[in-house]
Amino acid sequence: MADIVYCEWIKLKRSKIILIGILGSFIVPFLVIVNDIRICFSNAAATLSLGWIYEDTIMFIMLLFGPLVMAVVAIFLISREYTEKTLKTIFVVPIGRRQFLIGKFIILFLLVLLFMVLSWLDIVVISVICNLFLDVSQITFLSAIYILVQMIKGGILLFATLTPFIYIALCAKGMLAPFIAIAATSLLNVVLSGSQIGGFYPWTTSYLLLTGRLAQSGCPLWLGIVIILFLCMFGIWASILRFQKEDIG
Amino acid sequence: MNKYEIETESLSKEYNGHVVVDKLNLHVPKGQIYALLGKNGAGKTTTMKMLLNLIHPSGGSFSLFGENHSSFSKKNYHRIGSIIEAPAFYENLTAKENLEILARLRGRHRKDTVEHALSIVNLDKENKKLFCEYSLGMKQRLGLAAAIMHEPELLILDEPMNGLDPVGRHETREYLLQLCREKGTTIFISSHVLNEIEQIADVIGIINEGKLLEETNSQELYRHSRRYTEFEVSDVNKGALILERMYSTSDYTIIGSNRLRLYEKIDNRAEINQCFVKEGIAVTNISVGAGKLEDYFTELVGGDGIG
Repeated sequence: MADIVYCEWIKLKRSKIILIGILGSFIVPFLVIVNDIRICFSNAAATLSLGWIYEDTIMFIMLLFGPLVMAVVAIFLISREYTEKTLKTIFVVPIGRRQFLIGKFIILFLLVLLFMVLSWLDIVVISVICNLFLDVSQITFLSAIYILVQMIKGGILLFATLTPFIYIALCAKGMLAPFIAIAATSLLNVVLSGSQIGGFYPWTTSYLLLTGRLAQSGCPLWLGIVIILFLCMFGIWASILRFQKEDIG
Repeated sequence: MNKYEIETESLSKEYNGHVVVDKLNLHVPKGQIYALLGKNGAGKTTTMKMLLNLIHPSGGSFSLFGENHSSFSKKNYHRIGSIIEAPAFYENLTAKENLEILARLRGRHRKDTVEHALSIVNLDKENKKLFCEYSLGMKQRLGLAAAIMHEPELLILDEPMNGLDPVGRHETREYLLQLCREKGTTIFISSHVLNEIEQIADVIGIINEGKLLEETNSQELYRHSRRYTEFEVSDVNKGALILERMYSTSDYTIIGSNRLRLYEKIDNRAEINQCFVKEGIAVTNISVGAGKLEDYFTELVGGDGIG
Protein backbone atom coordinates (compact mmCIF):
# COMPACT_ATOMS: atom_id res chain seq x y z
CA MET A 1 0.00 0.00 0.00
CA ALA A 2 2.91 2.34 0.77
CA ASP A 3 4.11 1.92 -2.83
CA ILE A 4 0.66 2.72 -4.20
CA VAL A 5 0.41 5.88 -2.10
CA TYR A 6 3.95 6.89 -3.06
CA CYS A 7 3.10 6.42 -6.75
CA GLU A 8 -0.02 8.53 -6.29
CA TRP A 9 2.23 11.26 -4.93
CA ILE A 10 4.64 10.93 -7.87
CA LYS A 11 1.71 11.19 -10.29
CA LEU A 12 1.05 14.69 -8.95
CA LYS A 13 4.54 15.92 -9.87
CA ARG A 14 4.36 19.16 -11.94
CA SER A 15 0.62 18.96 -11.64
CA LYS A 16 -1.15 22.32 -11.59
CA ILE A 17 -3.79 20.96 -9.25
CA ILE A 18 -1.27 20.96 -6.39
CA LEU A 19 -0.47 24.60 -7.09
CA ILE A 20 -4.19 25.37 -7.00
CA GLY A 21 -4.47 23.56 -3.66
CA ILE A 22 -1.50 25.44 -2.15
CA LEU A 23 -2.75 28.81 -3.39
CA GLY A 24 -6.21 27.90 -2.09
CA SER A 25 -4.81 27.14 1.34
CA PHE A 26 -3.07 30.51 1.48
CA ILE A 27 -5.79 32.67 0.09
CA VAL A 28 -8.49 32.17 2.74
CA PRO A 29 -6.44 33.26 5.80
CA PHE A 30 -5.07 36.17 3.80
CA LEU A 31 -8.52 37.45 2.76
CA VAL A 32 -9.89 36.91 6.26
CA ILE A 33 -7.10 39.00 7.82
CA VAL A 34 -7.60 41.76 5.26
CA ASN A 35 -11.31 41.80 6.14
CA ASP A 36 -10.65 41.70 9.91
CA ILE A 37 -8.21 44.61 9.64
CA ARG A 38 -10.84 46.54 7.69
CA ILE A 39 -13.36 45.90 10.49
CA CYS A 40 -10.83 47.03 13.12
CA PHE A 41 -10.24 50.29 11.25
CA SER A 42 -13.98 50.96 10.92
CA ASN A 43 -14.81 49.90 14.49
CA ALA A 44 -12.52 51.20 17.23
CA ALA A 45 -13.93 48.69 19.76
CA ALA A 46 -12.84 45.71 17.69
CA THR A 47 -9.50 44.14 18.52
CA LEU A 48 -7.60 41.89 16.19
CA SER A 49 -6.80 38.48 17.71
CA LEU A 50 -5.44 35.13 16.59
CA GLY A 51 -8.65 33.45 17.79
CA TRP A 52 -10.82 35.78 15.71
CA ILE A 53 -8.72 35.21 12.60
CA TYR A 54 -8.87 31.45 13.16
CA GLU A 55 -12.65 31.40 13.65
CA ASP A 56 -13.33 33.35 10.48
CA THR A 57 -10.81 31.27 8.53
CA ILE A 58 -12.19 27.92 9.68
CA MET A 59 -15.72 29.03 8.81
CA PHE A 60 -14.79 29.91 5.22
CA ILE A 61 -12.60 26.83 4.85
CA MET A 62 -15.11 24.32 6.21
CA LEU A 63 -18.20 25.77 4.59
CA LEU A 64 -17.04 27.06 1.25
CA PHE A 65 -13.43 27.06 0.17
CA GLY A 66 -12.24 23.74 1.58
CA PRO A 67 -14.98 21.58 0.05
CA LEU A 68 -14.63 23.40 -3.26
CA VAL A 69 -10.85 23.22 -3.59
CA MET A 70 -10.40 19.76 -2.14
CA ALA A 71 -13.32 18.30 -4.09
CA VAL A 72 -11.68 19.63 -7.26
CA VAL A 73 -8.49 17.81 -6.20
CA ALA A 74 -10.50 14.63 -5.42
CA ILE A 75 -12.26 14.78 -8.78
CA PHE A 76 -8.95 15.36 -10.56
CA LEU A 77 -7.36 12.32 -8.88
CA ILE A 78 -10.04 10.09 -10.37
CA SER A 79 -11.04 11.71 -13.64
CA ARG A 80 -7.45 12.10 -14.90
CA GLU A 81 -7.14 8.33 -14.92
CA TYR A 82 -10.06 8.24 -17.35
CA THR A 83 -9.13 11.24 -19.48
CA GLU A 84 -5.48 10.14 -19.79
CA LYS A 85 -6.65 6.50 -20.17
CA THR A 86 -4.02 5.32 -17.71
CA LEU A 87 -6.18 2.73 -15.93
CA LYS A 88 -5.38 0.14 -18.59
CA THR A 89 -1.66 0.77 -18.02
CA ILE A 90 -1.89 0.51 -14.23
CA PHE A 91 -4.25 -2.44 -13.90
CA VAL A 92 -2.19 -4.76 -16.07
CA VAL A 93 0.76 -4.33 -13.67
CA PRO A 94 -1.36 -5.67 -11.92
CA ILE A 95 -2.75 -3.96 -8.83
CA GLY A 96 -6.13 -4.66 -7.28
CA ARG A 97 -8.91 -2.22 -8.00
CA ARG A 98 -9.76 -1.90 -4.30
CA GLN A 99 -6.13 -1.26 -3.43
CA PHE A 100 -5.90 1.32 -6.19
CA LEU A 101 -8.97 3.15 -4.90
CA ILE A 102 -7.87 2.99 -1.27
CA GLY A 103 -4.59 4.53 -2.44
CA LYS A 104 -6.61 7.38 -3.96
CA PHE A 105 -8.51 7.90 -0.69
CA ILE A 106 -5.29 7.91 1.31
CA ILE A 107 -3.58 10.45 -0.95
CA LEU A 108 -6.71 12.61 -0.83
CA PHE A 109 -6.68 12.42 2.96
CA LEU A 110 -3.01 13.44 3.05
CA LEU A 111 -3.63 16.31 0.64
CA VAL A 112 -6.56 17.57 2.73
CA LEU A 113 -4.35 17.48 5.83
CA LEU A 114 -1.60 19.29 3.91
CA PHE A 115 -4.14 21.90 2.82
CA MET A 116 -5.25 22.43 6.42
CA VAL A 117 -1.70 22.56 7.81
CA LEU A 118 -0.68 25.10 5.17
CA SER A 119 -3.73 27.20 6.03
CA TRP A 120 -2.74 27.01 9.69
CA LEU A 121 0.80 28.06 8.82
CA ASP A 122 -0.62 30.95 6.85
CA ILE A 123 -2.84 32.07 9.75
CA VAL A 124 0.09 32.05 12.19
CA VAL A 125 2.62 33.69 9.87
CA ILE A 126 0.28 36.46 8.72
CA SER A 127 -0.84 37.09 12.30
CA VAL A 128 2.78 37.40 13.45
CA ILE A 129 3.57 39.75 10.56
CA CYS A 130 0.47 41.85 11.32
CA ASN A 131 1.53 41.97 14.96
CA LEU A 132 4.63 43.91 13.89
CA PHE A 133 2.45 46.80 12.72
CA LEU A 134 -0.85 46.29 14.55
CA ASP A 135 -1.74 44.85 17.92
CA VAL A 136 -2.79 41.20 17.43
CA SER A 137 -3.66 39.51 20.72
CA GLN A 138 -3.54 35.80 21.71
CA ILE A 139 -0.38 35.06 19.71
CA THR A 140 1.05 32.36 21.92
CA PHE A 141 2.59 28.96 21.30
CA LEU A 142 -0.34 27.21 22.98
CA SER A 143 -2.89 29.11 20.88
CA ALA A 144 -1.02 28.15 17.72
CA ILE A 145 -0.94 24.48 18.78
CA TYR A 146 -4.64 24.56 19.66
CA ILE A 147 -5.46 25.99 16.21
CA LEU A 148 -3.25 23.36 14.54
CA VAL A 149 -5.11 20.57 16.33
CA GLN A 150 -8.45 22.11 15.31
CA MET A 151 -7.30 22.44 11.71
CA ILE A 152 -6.26 18.78 11.63
CA LYS A 153 -9.64 17.79 13.10
CA GLY A 154 -11.25 19.97 10.45
CA GLY A 155 -9.18 18.19 7.80
CA ILE A 156 -10.42 14.80 8.98
CA LEU A 157 -14.04 16.00 8.89
CA LEU A 158 -13.54 17.64 5.51
CA PHE A 159 -12.10 14.42 4.07
CA ALA A 160 -15.04 12.44 5.46
CA THR A 161 -17.49 14.61 3.55
CA LEU A 162 -15.48 14.45 0.30
CA THR A 163 -15.68 10.69 -0.33
CA PRO A 164 -19.04 10.86 -2.19
CA PHE A 165 -17.37 13.10 -4.79
CA ILE A 166 -14.94 10.28 -5.58
CA TYR A 167 -17.98 8.10 -6.25
CA ILE A 168 -19.55 10.78 -8.47
CA ALA A 169 -16.25 11.17 -10.36
CA LEU A 170 -16.11 7.39 -10.91
CA CYS A 171 -19.64 7.37 -12.28
CA ALA A 172 -19.19 10.46 -14.44
CA LYS A 173 -15.62 9.62 -15.61
CA GLY A 174 -15.24 13.30 -16.47
CA MET A 175 -15.02 16.53 -14.51
CA LEU A 176 -18.16 18.45 -15.40
CA ALA A 177 -20.83 16.51 -13.46
CA PRO A 178 -18.76 16.29 -10.25
CA PHE A 179 -17.98 20.03 -10.50
CA ILE A 180 -21.67 20.83 -10.72
CA ALA A 181 -22.30 18.56 -7.73
CA ILE A 182 -19.65 20.24 -5.57
CA ALA A 183 -20.78 23.72 -6.59
CA ALA A 184 -24.36 22.88 -5.59
CA THR A 185 -23.17 21.29 -2.33
CA SER A 186 -21.11 24.34 -1.37
CA LEU A 187 -23.93 26.70 -2.25
CA LEU A 188 -26.30 24.75 -0.04
CA ASN A 189 -23.66 24.84 2.68
CA VAL A 190 -23.69 28.64 2.63
CA VAL A 191 -27.51 28.77 2.56
CA LEU A 192 -28.01 26.20 5.34
CA SER A 193 -25.16 27.15 7.67
CA GLY A 194 -27.30 29.65 9.58
CA SER A 195 -30.52 27.69 9.48
CA GLN A 196 -32.04 25.21 11.92
CA ILE A 197 -31.55 22.26 9.60
CA GLY A 198 -27.89 23.05 8.95
CA GLY A 199 -26.84 20.52 11.58
CA PHE A 200 -28.41 17.74 9.58
CA TYR A 201 -26.68 18.67 6.32
CA PRO A 202 -23.39 16.68 6.46
CA TRP A 203 -21.14 19.36 4.97
CA THR A 204 -22.44 21.92 7.49
CA THR A 205 -22.55 19.32 10.27
CA SER A 206 -18.78 18.94 10.04
CA TYR A 207 -18.26 22.68 10.57
CA LEU A 208 -20.72 22.86 13.46
CA LEU A 209 -19.18 19.75 15.02
CA LEU A 210 -15.69 21.23 14.78
CA THR A 211 -16.68 24.56 16.32
CA GLY A 212 -18.83 22.99 19.06
CA ARG A 213 -22.04 24.57 17.80
CA LEU A 214 -23.81 21.42 16.68
CA ALA A 215 -26.10 21.21 19.73
CA GLN A 216 -27.30 24.79 19.09
CA SER A 217 -28.54 23.69 15.68
CA GLY A 218 -30.78 21.04 17.22
CA CYS A 219 -28.75 18.09 15.99
CA PRO A 220 -27.48 15.84 18.80
CA LEU A 221 -23.74 15.26 18.87
CA TRP A 222 -24.09 11.50 18.30
CA LEU A 223 -26.36 12.04 15.32
CA GLY A 224 -23.90 14.52 13.80
CA ILE A 225 -21.09 11.98 14.11
CA VAL A 226 -23.31 9.24 12.65
CA ILE A 227 -24.29 11.45 9.70
CA ILE A 228 -20.66 12.21 8.84
CA LEU A 229 -19.50 8.63 9.37
CA PHE A 230 -22.34 7.31 7.24
CA LEU A 231 -21.55 9.73 4.42
CA CYS A 232 -17.86 8.86 4.56
CA MET A 233 -18.45 5.11 4.58
CA PHE A 234 -21.06 5.38 1.85
CA GLY A 235 -18.62 7.29 -0.37
CA ILE A 236 -15.85 4.72 0.12
CA TRP A 237 -18.08 1.64 -0.09
CA ALA A 238 -20.08 2.80 -3.13
CA SER A 239 -16.86 3.80 -4.94
CA ILE A 240 -15.20 0.43 -4.35
CA LEU A 241 -18.34 -1.49 -5.31
CA ARG A 242 -18.76 0.50 -8.52
CA PHE A 243 -15.09 0.29 -9.47
CA GLN A 244 -14.88 -3.47 -8.95
CA LYS A 245 -17.62 -4.09 -11.50
CA GLU A 246 -16.43 -1.60 -14.08
CA ASP A 247 -14.99 -2.53 -17.45
CA ILE A 248 -11.88 -0.54 -18.23
CA GLY A 249 -12.49 0.96 -21.64
CA MET B 1 2.48 -29.56 -19.40
CA ASN B 2 0.04 -27.35 -21.26
CA LYS B 3 1.26 -26.41 -24.71
CA TYR B 4 -0.90 -23.29 -24.89
CA GLU B 5 -0.06 -20.08 -23.01
CA ILE B 6 -3.50 -18.69 -23.83
CA GLU B 7 -6.54 -20.81 -24.45
CA THR B 8 -10.07 -19.50 -24.67
CA GLU B 9 -13.24 -21.52 -24.65
CA SER B 10 -16.41 -19.92 -26.03
CA LEU B 11 -15.14 -16.58 -24.74
CA SER B 12 -17.83 -13.96 -25.30
CA LYS B 13 -18.52 -10.34 -24.55
CA GLU B 14 -21.62 -8.33 -25.20
CA TYR B 15 -22.56 -4.75 -24.48
CA ASN B 16 -26.26 -3.98 -24.15
CA GLY B 17 -27.22 -7.03 -26.18
CA HIS B 18 -24.67 -6.29 -28.90
CA VAL B 19 -22.23 -9.19 -29.25
CA VAL B 20 -18.66 -7.93 -29.63
CA VAL B 21 -16.85 -11.22 -29.09
CA ASP B 22 -18.75 -14.37 -29.98
CA LYS B 23 -17.75 -17.74 -28.51
CA LEU B 24 -14.08 -17.37 -29.32
CA ASN B 25 -11.82 -20.43 -29.14
CA LEU B 26 -8.22 -19.28 -29.39
CA HIS B 27 -5.13 -21.40 -28.91
CA VAL B 28 -1.89 -19.48 -28.48
CA PRO B 29 1.02 -21.94 -28.42
CA LYS B 30 3.88 -21.47 -26.02
CA GLY B 31 6.98 -19.80 -27.41
CA GLN B 32 5.39 -18.76 -30.69
CA ILE B 33 4.03 -15.60 -32.25
CA TYR B 34 0.27 -15.65 -32.68
CA ALA B 35 -1.20 -12.89 -34.82
CA LEU B 36 -4.84 -11.99 -34.48
CA LEU B 37 -6.11 -10.33 -37.64
CA GLY B 38 -9.37 -8.53 -38.03
CA LYS B 39 -10.97 -5.37 -39.28
CA ASN B 40 -11.63 -2.44 -36.95
CA GLY B 41 -14.34 -3.41 -34.51
CA ALA B 42 -13.79 -7.14 -35.12
CA GLY B 43 -13.27 -7.74 -31.39
CA LYS B 44 -9.46 -7.96 -31.19
CA THR B 45 -8.98 -5.33 -28.49
CA THR B 46 -11.95 -6.56 -26.48
CA THR B 47 -10.52 -10.08 -26.51
CA MET B 48 -7.15 -8.82 -25.32
CA LYS B 49 -8.77 -6.71 -22.62
CA MET B 50 -10.65 -9.74 -21.34
CA LEU B 51 -7.42 -11.73 -21.19
CA LEU B 52 -5.82 -8.91 -19.22
CA ASN B 53 -8.70 -8.75 -16.75
CA LEU B 54 -9.56 -5.20 -17.79
CA ILE B 55 -13.08 -6.16 -18.79
CA HIS B 56 -15.26 -8.96 -17.56
CA PRO B 57 -16.33 -11.67 -20.04
CA SER B 58 -20.07 -12.14 -20.57
CA GLY B 59 -19.58 -15.86 -21.15
CA GLY B 60 -17.07 -18.61 -21.68
CA SER B 61 -13.70 -18.93 -20.03
CA PHE B 62 -10.01 -18.67 -20.70
CA SER B 63 -6.83 -19.96 -19.24
CA LEU B 64 -3.42 -18.35 -19.02
CA PHE B 65 -0.28 -20.45 -18.56
CA GLY B 66 -2.60 -23.44 -18.31
CA GLU B 67 -4.55 -22.03 -15.35
CA ASN B 68 -8.22 -21.17 -15.62
CA HIS B 69 -8.84 -17.45 -15.17
CA SER B 70 -11.31 -17.99 -12.33
CA SER B 71 -8.56 -19.53 -10.24
CA PHE B 72 -5.73 -17.54 -11.83
CA SER B 73 -3.78 -15.59 -9.26
CA LYS B 74 -3.55 -11.91 -10.02
CA LYS B 75 0.13 -12.07 -9.19
CA ASN B 76 0.59 -14.20 -12.30
CA TYR B 77 -0.11 -11.10 -14.38
CA HIS B 78 3.47 -10.13 -13.52
CA ARG B 79 4.37 -12.72 -16.12
CA ILE B 80 2.54 -10.76 -18.82
CA GLY B 81 3.51 -7.59 -20.63
CA SER B 82 1.00 -5.70 -22.71
CA ILE B 83 0.13 -2.79 -24.94
CA ILE B 84 -3.56 -2.11 -25.39
CA GLU B 85 -4.58 0.42 -28.07
CA ALA B 86 -2.53 3.63 -27.93
CA PRO B 87 -0.13 3.52 -24.96
CA ALA B 88 -1.34 5.76 -22.15
CA PHE B 89 0.87 7.28 -19.49
CA TYR B 90 0.76 10.23 -17.11
CA GLU B 91 1.21 13.27 -19.28
CA ASN B 92 2.92 15.45 -16.66
CA LEU B 93 5.69 12.90 -16.13
CA THR B 94 8.77 11.92 -18.11
CA ALA B 95 9.22 8.45 -19.61
CA LYS B 96 11.50 7.47 -16.77
CA GLU B 97 9.08 8.66 -14.12
CA ASN B 98 6.22 6.81 -15.77
CA LEU B 99 8.18 3.57 -15.90
CA GLU B 100 9.39 4.10 -12.31
CA ILE B 101 5.75 4.05 -11.22
CA LEU B 102 5.14 0.73 -12.99
CA ALA B 103 8.40 -0.74 -11.69
CA ARG B 104 7.57 0.30 -8.14
CA LEU B 105 4.08 -1.17 -8.30
CA ARG B 106 5.28 -4.36 -9.95
CA GLY B 107 8.54 -4.77 -8.07
CA ARG B 108 11.94 -4.66 -9.75
CA HIS B 109 13.59 -7.77 -11.04
CA ARG B 110 16.84 -5.89 -11.71
CA LYS B 111 18.24 -2.60 -10.46
CA ASP B 112 18.34 -0.83 -13.77
CA THR B 113 14.96 -2.10 -15.01
CA VAL B 114 13.78 1.30 -16.19
CA GLU B 115 17.02 2.44 -17.80
CA HIS B 116 17.44 -0.91 -19.54
CA ALA B 117 13.91 -0.83 -20.98
CA LEU B 118 14.34 2.76 -22.17
CA SER B 119 17.64 1.95 -23.87
CA ILE B 120 16.03 -0.97 -25.75
CA VAL B 121 13.49 1.37 -27.32
CA ASN B 122 16.02 4.21 -27.79
CA LEU B 123 14.30 6.57 -25.39
CA ASP B 124 17.12 6.74 -22.87
CA LYS B 125 18.28 10.13 -24.17
CA GLU B 126 14.87 11.77 -23.71
CA ASN B 127 15.39 12.50 -20.03
CA LYS B 128 13.53 15.76 -19.67
CA LYS B 129 10.76 15.45 -22.18
CA LEU B 130 7.32 15.00 -20.67
CA PHE B 131 5.00 12.32 -22.04
CA CYS B 132 2.60 14.98 -23.35
CA GLU B 133 5.44 16.28 -25.58
CA TYR B 134 6.08 12.89 -27.15
CA SER B 135 5.29 12.08 -30.76
CA LEU B 136 3.00 9.15 -31.55
CA GLY B 137 5.98 6.97 -32.41
CA MET B 138 7.77 7.82 -29.16
CA LYS B 139 4.62 7.03 -27.19
CA GLN B 140 4.45 3.68 -28.93
CA ARG B 141 8.08 2.99 -28.07
CA LEU B 142 7.44 3.85 -24.44
CA GLY B 143 4.46 1.50 -24.49
CA LEU B 144 6.73 -1.26 -25.72
CA ALA B 145 9.29 -0.42 -23.03
CA ALA B 146 6.57 -0.72 -20.38
CA ALA B 147 5.47 -4.05 -21.82
CA ILE B 148 8.91 -5.63 -21.88
CA MET B 149 10.60 -3.98 -18.89
CA HIS B 150 9.93 -6.92 -16.53
CA GLU B 151 10.95 -9.53 -19.12
CA PRO B 152 7.55 -11.23 -19.25
CA GLU B 153 6.92 -14.75 -20.49
CA LEU B 154 3.88 -13.63 -22.46
CA LEU B 155 3.39 -10.43 -24.43
CA ILE B 156 -0.10 -9.28 -25.41
CA LEU B 157 0.32 -6.51 -27.95
CA ASP B 158 -2.58 -4.68 -29.52
CA GLU B 159 -1.40 -2.96 -32.69
CA PRO B 160 2.08 -2.24 -31.29
CA MET B 161 3.42 -0.82 -34.55
CA ASN B 162 0.87 1.94 -34.95
CA GLY B 163 2.57 5.27 -35.37
CA LEU B 164 6.07 3.87 -35.79
CA ASP B 165 8.19 4.93 -38.75
CA PRO B 166 9.52 2.19 -41.09
CA VAL B 167 12.79 1.93 -39.19
CA GLY B 168 10.92 1.69 -35.90
CA ARG B 169 8.67 -1.02 -37.34
CA HIS B 170 11.62 -2.99 -38.58
CA GLU B 171 13.39 -2.70 -35.23
CA THR B 172 10.26 -3.68 -33.31
CA ARG B 173 9.67 -6.66 -35.57
CA GLU B 174 13.25 -7.80 -35.19
CA TYR B 175 13.13 -7.33 -31.43
CA LEU B 176 9.90 -9.32 -31.09
CA LEU B 177 11.34 -12.11 -33.21
CA GLN B 178 14.48 -12.09 -31.09
CA LEU B 179 12.43 -12.24 -27.88
CA CYS B 180 10.44 -15.15 -29.19
CA ARG B 181 13.30 -17.14 -30.69
CA GLU B 182 15.98 -16.50 -28.06
CA LYS B 183 14.03 -16.16 -24.85
CA GLY B 184 11.01 -18.25 -25.73
CA THR B 185 8.58 -15.40 -25.08
CA THR B 186 5.08 -16.11 -26.34
CA ILE B 187 3.67 -13.18 -28.29
CA PHE B 188 -0.01 -12.60 -28.93
CA ILE B 189 -0.20 -9.68 -31.33
CA SER B 190 -2.85 -7.90 -33.33
CA SER B 191 -2.06 -5.49 -36.10
CA HIS B 192 -3.37 -3.75 -39.16
CA VAL B 193 0.07 -3.91 -40.70
CA LEU B 194 -0.43 -7.22 -42.46
CA ASN B 195 3.00 -7.28 -44.03
CA GLU B 196 4.58 -7.17 -40.60
CA ILE B 197 2.38 -9.98 -39.40
CA GLU B 198 3.10 -12.09 -42.46
CA GLN B 199 6.78 -11.87 -41.69
CA ILE B 200 6.76 -12.73 -38.01
CA ALA B 201 3.68 -14.82 -37.20
CA ASP B 202 3.86 -18.53 -36.57
CA VAL B 203 0.11 -18.87 -36.09
CA ILE B 204 -2.59 -16.63 -37.47
CA GLY B 205 -6.14 -16.22 -36.24
CA ILE B 206 -8.65 -14.32 -38.33
CA ILE B 207 -11.52 -12.70 -36.48
CA ASN B 208 -14.54 -10.97 -37.95
CA GLU B 209 -17.55 -9.54 -36.14
CA GLY B 210 -16.41 -11.24 -32.95
CA LYS B 211 -16.13 -14.69 -34.48
CA LEU B 212 -12.94 -16.60 -35.15
CA LEU B 213 -13.06 -17.50 -38.82
CA GLU B 214 -9.81 -19.35 -39.04
CA GLU B 215 -6.91 -20.35 -36.87
CA THR B 216 -4.01 -21.86 -38.65
CA ASN B 217 -0.25 -21.82 -38.81
CA SER B 218 1.19 -19.40 -41.31
CA GLN B 219 2.51 -22.08 -43.70
CA GLU B 220 -0.92 -23.64 -43.90
CA LEU B 221 -2.37 -20.23 -44.50
CA TYR B 222 -0.09 -19.57 -47.44
CA ARG B 223 -1.36 -22.77 -48.99
CA HIS B 224 -4.78 -21.16 -48.85
CA SER B 225 -3.49 -18.11 -50.62
CA ARG B 226 -4.47 -18.80 -54.20
CA ARG B 227 -2.47 -18.51 -57.37
CA TYR B 228 -3.71 -16.33 -60.16
CA THR B 229 -3.02 -15.00 -63.64
CA GLU B 230 -3.04 -11.25 -63.98
CA PHE B 231 -3.78 -9.67 -67.35
CA GLU B 232 -3.00 -6.02 -67.99
CA VAL B 233 -5.55 -5.09 -70.63
CA SER B 234 -6.88 -2.06 -72.49
CA ASP B 235 -10.54 -2.74 -71.58
CA VAL B 236 -11.24 -4.57 -68.33
CA ASN B 237 -15.04 -4.60 -68.77
CA LYS B 238 -14.84 -6.27 -72.13
CA GLY B 239 -12.22 -8.70 -70.79
CA ALA B 240 -14.46 -9.62 -67.87
CA LEU B 241 -17.34 -10.22 -70.25
CA ILE B 242 -15.22 -12.57 -72.33
CA LEU B 243 -14.15 -14.53 -69.25
CA GLU B 244 -17.75 -14.97 -68.17
CA ARG B 245 -19.20 -15.81 -71.59
CA MET B 246 -16.45 -17.82 -73.19
CA TYR B 247 -14.79 -19.42 -70.17
CA SER B 248 -17.83 -19.58 -67.87
CA THR B 249 -15.99 -18.17 -64.89
CA SER B 250 -16.70 -15.39 -62.50
CA ASP B 251 -13.74 -16.21 -60.27
CA TYR B 252 -11.80 -13.07 -61.09
CA THR B 253 -11.30 -9.60 -59.67
CA ILE B 254 -10.80 -6.28 -61.41
CA ILE B 255 -7.87 -4.35 -60.00
CA GLY B 256 -7.56 -0.69 -60.84
CA SER B 257 -8.56 0.45 -64.30
CA ASN B 258 -6.63 -2.06 -66.41
CA ARG B 259 -5.89 -5.28 -64.54
CA LEU B 260 -7.86 -8.51 -64.44
CA ARG B 261 -6.87 -11.12 -61.90
CA LEU B 262 -8.12 -14.61 -62.78
CA TYR B 263 -7.99 -17.30 -60.10
CA GLU B 264 -8.94 -20.20 -62.35
CA LYS B 265 -7.64 -21.66 -65.59
CA ILE B 266 -4.06 -20.61 -64.94
CA ASP B 267 -2.80 -23.14 -67.47
CA ASN B 268 -5.11 -21.65 -70.14
CA ARG B 269 -3.57 -18.17 -69.94
CA ALA B 270 -2.05 -18.31 -73.44
CA GLU B 271 -5.39 -19.29 -74.93
CA ILE B 272 -7.21 -16.56 -72.99
CA ASN B 273 -4.62 -14.06 -74.17
CA GLN B 274 -5.23 -15.02 -77.78
CA CYS B 275 -8.95 -14.69 -77.22
CA PHE B 276 -8.57 -11.20 -75.74
CA VAL B 277 -6.43 -10.08 -78.70
CA LYS B 278 -8.84 -11.62 -81.18
CA GLU B 279 -11.68 -9.64 -79.58
CA GLY B 280 -9.71 -6.41 -79.99
CA ILE B 281 -8.35 -6.06 -76.45
CA ALA B 282 -4.71 -5.01 -76.17
CA VAL B 283 -2.86 -7.14 -73.62
CA THR B 284 0.28 -5.38 -72.40
CA ASN B 285 1.33 -7.78 -69.66
CA ILE B 286 0.58 -11.24 -68.29
CA SER B 287 1.91 -12.47 -64.98
CA VAL B 288 1.32 -15.38 -62.67
CA GLY B 289 1.37 -14.78 -58.92
CA ALA B 290 0.15 -15.97 -55.58
CA GLY B 291 -2.24 -14.11 -53.34
CA LYS B 292 -0.80 -12.44 -50.29
CA LEU B 293 -2.20 -12.83 -46.85
CA GLU B 294 -4.05 -9.55 -47.31
CA ASP B 295 -5.88 -10.93 -50.36
CA TYR B 296 -6.83 -14.07 -48.50
CA PHE B 297 -7.90 -12.01 -45.53
CA THR B 298 -10.07 -9.77 -47.68
CA GLU B 299 -11.63 -12.77 -49.31
CA LEU B 300 -12.35 -14.36 -45.96
CA VAL B 301 -13.86 -11.41 -44.10
CA GLY B 302 -15.29 -9.66 -47.12
CA GLY B 303 -15.54 -5.90 -47.43
CA ASP B 304 -12.66 -3.61 -48.16
CA GLY B 305 -9.91 -5.41 -46.38
CA ILE B 306 -8.65 -4.66 -42.98
CA GLY B 307 -10.24 -1.32 -42.44
